[in-house]
Amino acid sequence: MINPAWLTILEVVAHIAQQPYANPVGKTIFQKIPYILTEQGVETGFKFTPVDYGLSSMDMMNAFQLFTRANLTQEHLQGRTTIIQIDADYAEYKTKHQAVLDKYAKPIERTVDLFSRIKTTHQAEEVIIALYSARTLKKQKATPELSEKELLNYIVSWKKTWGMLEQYKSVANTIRHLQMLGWLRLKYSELTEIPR
Amino acid sequence: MSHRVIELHHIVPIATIPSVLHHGILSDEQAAKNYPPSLITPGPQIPKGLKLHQYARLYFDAHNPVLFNRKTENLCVLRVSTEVFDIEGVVLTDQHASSPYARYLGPHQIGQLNFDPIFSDNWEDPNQIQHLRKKAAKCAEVLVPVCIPFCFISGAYVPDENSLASIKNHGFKRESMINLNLFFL
Repeated sequence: MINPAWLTILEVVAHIAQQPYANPVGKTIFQKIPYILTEQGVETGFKFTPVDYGLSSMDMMNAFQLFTRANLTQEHLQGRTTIIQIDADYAEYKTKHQAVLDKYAKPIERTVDLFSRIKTTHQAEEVIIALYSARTLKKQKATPELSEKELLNYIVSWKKTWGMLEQYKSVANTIRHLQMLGWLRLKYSELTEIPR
Repeated sequence: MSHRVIELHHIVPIATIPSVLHHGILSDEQAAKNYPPSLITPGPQIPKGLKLHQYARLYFDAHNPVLFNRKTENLCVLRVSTEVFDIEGVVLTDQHASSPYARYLGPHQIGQLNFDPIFSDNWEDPNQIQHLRKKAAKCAEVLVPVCIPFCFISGAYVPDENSLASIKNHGFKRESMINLNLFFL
């Protein structure tokens, strides 16, 4: 059965599709949206576990299957990318559960803003890993204060291939931008790898 | 449209005014075609749009870190009409357009931009992240595909009397004025 809170995922996809200058949501990005919504308190019920390529959630994959069976989403091939489109049947669900969508209007809006800024699947992966790692590290530490440098070191120790210079700079840049966009609250570090 | 946006700005060396009179404000790509062998750095792709170097670029406020970094050059700031918002394919950005996390918006979404930091007099802040946030917002841009014809240019700001004389000598006949608040003197 479809949890009405899951409709926030579809609402985000629908909003991004309406953006004049944002990439449409592909299959990979689609799988990243639920984590961001769940992080903001949307009661999806999804549990995420770290895997080599990022985060995985069996409940989320089951939910996606339910979306397809209920004709809420469709997949289309655009070039080499599989694009997720919201199906016409969604309108009926949306009307029925408008109160839930209204309740989560703020997380939906913030998620649309974040994913409208993300241009590649790799960038999306960096964002998800950075946010998940920050949460994990803050739980592990006795004090909640965490620095940008600590987070960066933690990430490259997890994702070994990200320790190469170009990738290292890219992750540092992502951490800094997530701070500037208000998604992370960390102690500032002199990250000489990125331009000020 | 936001009532706070009364004009847009383009930072340009006074020496290039003859080109502006002839071609208007060009994208880097167009400028390279007109003035070979200019070098251009291909910019990132704007989703559903052009590549960044294919746009003529304007700022909401030229009193920004870019002008600050170029303060030793002999520059003027061209005043551009907000009527460029009506040109098809115009993109607004909430920070420097080449930033990897810039948000790209259509002119009808101008209300989503926060104009307090964009029009603030300075971007200093004791909190480093807040400082970077303010600095990024000051570089919010308007991207116009290919070129901005000269008819959209209403005038120019210059930093001093010498520049005023210089821009007039280059044949610029639109209203030019010294603006001490805009330049970093």
